Amino acid sequence: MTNSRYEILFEPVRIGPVTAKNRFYQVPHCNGMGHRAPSGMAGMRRMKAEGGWGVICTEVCEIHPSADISPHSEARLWDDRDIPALARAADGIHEFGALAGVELGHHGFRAQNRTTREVPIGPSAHAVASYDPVQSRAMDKQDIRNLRRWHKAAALRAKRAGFDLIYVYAAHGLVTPMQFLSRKYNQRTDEYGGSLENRARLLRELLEDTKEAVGDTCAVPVRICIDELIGPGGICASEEGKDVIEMLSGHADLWDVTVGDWSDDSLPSRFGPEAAYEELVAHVKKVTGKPVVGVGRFTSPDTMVAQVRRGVLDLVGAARPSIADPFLPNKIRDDQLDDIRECIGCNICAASDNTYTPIRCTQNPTMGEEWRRGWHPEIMPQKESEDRILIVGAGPAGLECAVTLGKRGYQVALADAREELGGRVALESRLPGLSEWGRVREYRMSQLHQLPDVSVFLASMMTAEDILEAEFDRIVLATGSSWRRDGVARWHRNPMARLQAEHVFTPDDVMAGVAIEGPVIVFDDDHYYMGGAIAEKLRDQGLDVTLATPAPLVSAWTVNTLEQARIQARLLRKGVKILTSRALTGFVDGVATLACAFTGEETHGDFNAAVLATSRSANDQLYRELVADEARLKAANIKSVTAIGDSLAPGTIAQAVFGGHRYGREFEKPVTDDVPFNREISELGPWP
Amino acid sequence: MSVLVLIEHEAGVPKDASLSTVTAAGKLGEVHALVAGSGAEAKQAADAAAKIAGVAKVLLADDAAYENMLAENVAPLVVDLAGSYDALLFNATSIGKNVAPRVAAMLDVMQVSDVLSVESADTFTRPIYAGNAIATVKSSDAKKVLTVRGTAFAKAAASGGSASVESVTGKGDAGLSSFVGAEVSKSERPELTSAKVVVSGGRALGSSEEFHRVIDPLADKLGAAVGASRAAVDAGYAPNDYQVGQTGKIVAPEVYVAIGISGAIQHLAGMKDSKTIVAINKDEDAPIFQVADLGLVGDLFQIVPELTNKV
Amino acid sequence: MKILVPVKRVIDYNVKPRVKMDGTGVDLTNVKMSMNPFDEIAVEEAIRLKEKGAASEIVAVSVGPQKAQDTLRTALAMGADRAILIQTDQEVEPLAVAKLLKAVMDEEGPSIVLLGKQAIDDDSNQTGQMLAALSGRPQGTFASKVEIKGDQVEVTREVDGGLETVSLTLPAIVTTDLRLNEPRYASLPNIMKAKTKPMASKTPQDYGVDIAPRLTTLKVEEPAKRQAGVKLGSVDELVAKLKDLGVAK
Repeated sequence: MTNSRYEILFEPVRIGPVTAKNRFYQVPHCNGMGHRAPSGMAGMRRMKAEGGWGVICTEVCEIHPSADISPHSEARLWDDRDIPALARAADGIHEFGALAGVELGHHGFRAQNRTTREVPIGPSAHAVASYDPVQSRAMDKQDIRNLRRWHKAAALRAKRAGFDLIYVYAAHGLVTPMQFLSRKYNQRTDEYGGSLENRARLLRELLEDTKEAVGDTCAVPVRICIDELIGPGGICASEEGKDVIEMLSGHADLWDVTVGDWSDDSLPSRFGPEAAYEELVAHVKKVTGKPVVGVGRFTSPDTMVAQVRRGVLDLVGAARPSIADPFLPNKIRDDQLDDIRECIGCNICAASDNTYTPIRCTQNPTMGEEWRRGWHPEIMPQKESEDRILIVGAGPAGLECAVTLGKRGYQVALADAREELGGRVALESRLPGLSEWGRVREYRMSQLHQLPDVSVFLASMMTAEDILEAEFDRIVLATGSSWRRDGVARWHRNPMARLQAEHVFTPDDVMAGVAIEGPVIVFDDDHYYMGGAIAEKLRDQGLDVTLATPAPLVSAWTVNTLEQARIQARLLRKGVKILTSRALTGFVDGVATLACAFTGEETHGDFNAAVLATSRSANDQLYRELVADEARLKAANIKSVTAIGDSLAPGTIAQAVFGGHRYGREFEKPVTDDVPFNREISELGPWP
Repeated sequence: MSVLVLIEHEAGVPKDASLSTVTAAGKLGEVHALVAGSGAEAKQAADAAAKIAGVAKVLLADDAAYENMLAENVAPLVVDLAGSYDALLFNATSIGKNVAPRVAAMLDVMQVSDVLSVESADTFTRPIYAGNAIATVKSSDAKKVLTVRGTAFAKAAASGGSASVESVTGKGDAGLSSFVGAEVSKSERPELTSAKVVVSGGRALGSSEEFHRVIDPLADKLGAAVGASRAAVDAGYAPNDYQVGQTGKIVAPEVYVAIGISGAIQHLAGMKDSKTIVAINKDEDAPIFQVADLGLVGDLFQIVPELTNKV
Repeated sequence: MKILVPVKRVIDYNVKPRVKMDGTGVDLTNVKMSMNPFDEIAVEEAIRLKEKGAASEIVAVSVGPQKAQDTLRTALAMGADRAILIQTDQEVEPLAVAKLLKAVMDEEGPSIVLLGKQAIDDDSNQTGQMLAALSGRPQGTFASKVEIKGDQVEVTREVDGGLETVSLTLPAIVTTDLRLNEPRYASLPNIMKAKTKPMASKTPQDYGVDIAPRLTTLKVEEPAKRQAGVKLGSVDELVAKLKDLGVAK
């Protein structure tokens, strides 16, 4: 029974000629599958429909080869042959009574056209944003007429594919109508440039075209940027952001409002809270009577209700929260709030698209696997035997494994040496800005409390003897990993010779609260978040901190999670000294030796301590000890010993959760040489 | 039916909890009050008890053995008097909870603890599972022994009654136990899970500095523990162990002051059993006001310093 | 010196109790059960006394269904020496439990009986006091500190105004409050070792105790939802209310 407080979220909302059954609106979001893995994409959208979302949109859908953003794999409607793939998604969405939306988009000068080799076009001639040696040309009137014709054709195809909402996309700086709208990119002097009315002309025309083509039965939302977050030189929510909506209010059926670029819109939890942009978005409903949807990493039903009640939004938009929990709406409806898997704002989902891989989620290991592995986030297959399983280690892999097995009905014992559950998640969530990552642990703990067949044992360091005597059928080792002390990672493939152990620390030491005196040099050859987070923590403690990395950027891989620029800015503002393209090659007697990554030229610095954030070693001693003696295992009636998570190979928390989940689902299946998931093969084209 | 109520008293004055228990007793029959204590203060308390509206008779047991209400001494006193009563009522306070079950066992009857309402002569409601459920129970014992939750019954008027005071003698000191000493609650900041008053701050405080600047002085003035919402902890404004909520600490103080906290369900789960909830928030629609007994809508940066000055 | 520690198997304190729709009680099907948290504190205190050399043997006892053996095993894993299960599937009231424990006391002759002050399911807060009455011994309830001093035990109690210390002549009954100690975890290796410790199985009939209940539960309901209160107009009004509540001076 729905808590009456949340009933407002289940009210239907009229959007042009269609009606959404509730206010839960999954806004367009990329997923790395797109046109290359259409059934994967359709399966993922369908799962959200099953989870109760009222409206589910595709990712951006490329409308024409003149704007090709490969290798990113987004949806595509270039010609009629692309329709079946999208129809599959629309059908899946309709199966559960949700409305299907498609975000038609043309990437203008942001498209490098690496595959099609067309010359990118945009409002004015600009170099593409990436470092590709490609420049765009300014569109002439014919180009504009062409774009309008391509967009209309794509809209008609989208209607044939069965979509109920057909977008005009003008946000994130990524697409042509927005590039025209923005003074940053539009330096035209004709009727498509200059005044706001002129810059909005193309958008207006596209809206009119789309409405004319499909508006009788389909709603036409517009996704628009209401504030570029670049100050007076750009669109500001209280001025042009508001004015353009007022100007075009009658032209769109729904306003899907965004702020800034993708890294702003998908603000990571390290840099901002839930509902971060309410103040900016609040202007919109004052100037339009049309329904408004927006995002804010909403995970709390109370925040969602407040957005509606306060008149900020009509529909509660979500991308990441729908990824972490496709069943969020149903869980609110059924008063299962404790079972909601909250998004932690780590942006590993965004990183998937940015690394051209199918979407994944730290909190939801089934994300992206709905079709290709047949995984359902809420339904686990029943147990296949009476095997009793012992899981050693209650970090993210062990916790997820225990929950999955528990939900399947297995008897499980989960043992951890420490006095709290969570392993690395418990420790890492105490680093600056990573507090919300603790939800990985909290969610799984809340599930364990509901699984009486899973017994949890803390303060339980297990030796091989303990395990052999414990009378379990299967042993899972999820004993995690430890940061290396010898400098080995990408730069050094062999242990560093010139390292004085007493003054060398690792992130494990820092997280354990070991006393470290500055000045400190943090050597980051990990390139994800740890080096930067450690530097920040030590700096917050008042130490003099230098961060050295062989890469040209701090925390270089976080370009993919949309965090890199903010991380480097934050460290610089906090006074962390940054040395990029430098590798630590020695630390002896308080002197660190740094080599230039290009020339090898060495410089030196005086430090009291070095923290090495390089790579980790799997804690696999227990595993190796157990599997070394097969006879002993047999005598103890142990059917299998398996390492999962970091203790198999150190990786991301998402990978650990995935590994735990996979074991839980598949441990009974024999391992074969077959490809362990479904895949789609391209159809061969015509051949002379 | 006749009912005996054990009156708790301090400095010659019956405690408020006893006034509530008298009301509960009145629903069962004629109320007699038992005052056990030592010396002039006990006599004063007996005289005061005689004035409580609804009390028909006061029994005064004056003996040094009762000065500190040791259960080993007080329980036999009650048991000796119990013959003429159908029900024996005690406050659900540390004294009542200590003495009543000893009496019940000596009488070989089951006690009903923490009574919230009297449905009939033998049927009562009481909280179970930490108040997550309310049970209606019927006692088959001829004599009822109850502890009564003070907040569930209106206090009987402290004046208007004119009962007689009769002296009774019990067996005095049982020789099993002795009082060593007492300590009033310390003045340093109490622990969050056991504090009587909690002052909690939310994300609206805006920074760690502001959190401490605004919340700490009020907590100090009220002798309260300091808590925080999850959002405040996530934002780094308060340390982890301040977090009150489903995934933090569960607290049930007498008074919970929520400052700049919107009242999300997971926070409420951590403090919903507080006896009185006070909310200060600039958003009048904040869900916290749905559960707050006392609400003040406004700017916390104005309100809280003023409040700190005036309490 | 022998210490007797009664323990109860109750709903795990992390589980949110759900009231059954038919009003007959709290739904315990497929629900996680654990040792009553106050009893864990009692077990811990007994073990600490043994570690200090003040006690030589700790006997854990539970009145409950067969599965209460798991609870007793946890006590053994924490450090108790022996366990006794008094097996019954019926719900047993504090008065009956106290009578059974009196019978066990007569057999075992402990110097101290350490119990949790209340069980988190029925929240009765009676068993310890009743046992003290039936055995004619003194009681130190809501203990936040326990100190053996010769033939006495000094118990510091949490009372409404603060703390109070009483001295009790042994044998005595002590019930534990939250702040007495922080119990150690029953580790998995210790649980396994506990399988070799003696566990006796008895029934209420073995002790000649009639466990028929005196109370009948007519119905169990959810508590009334908390209602919104009043919105005040000023800080002064709030100050006045806080004074009424005894929070402000």
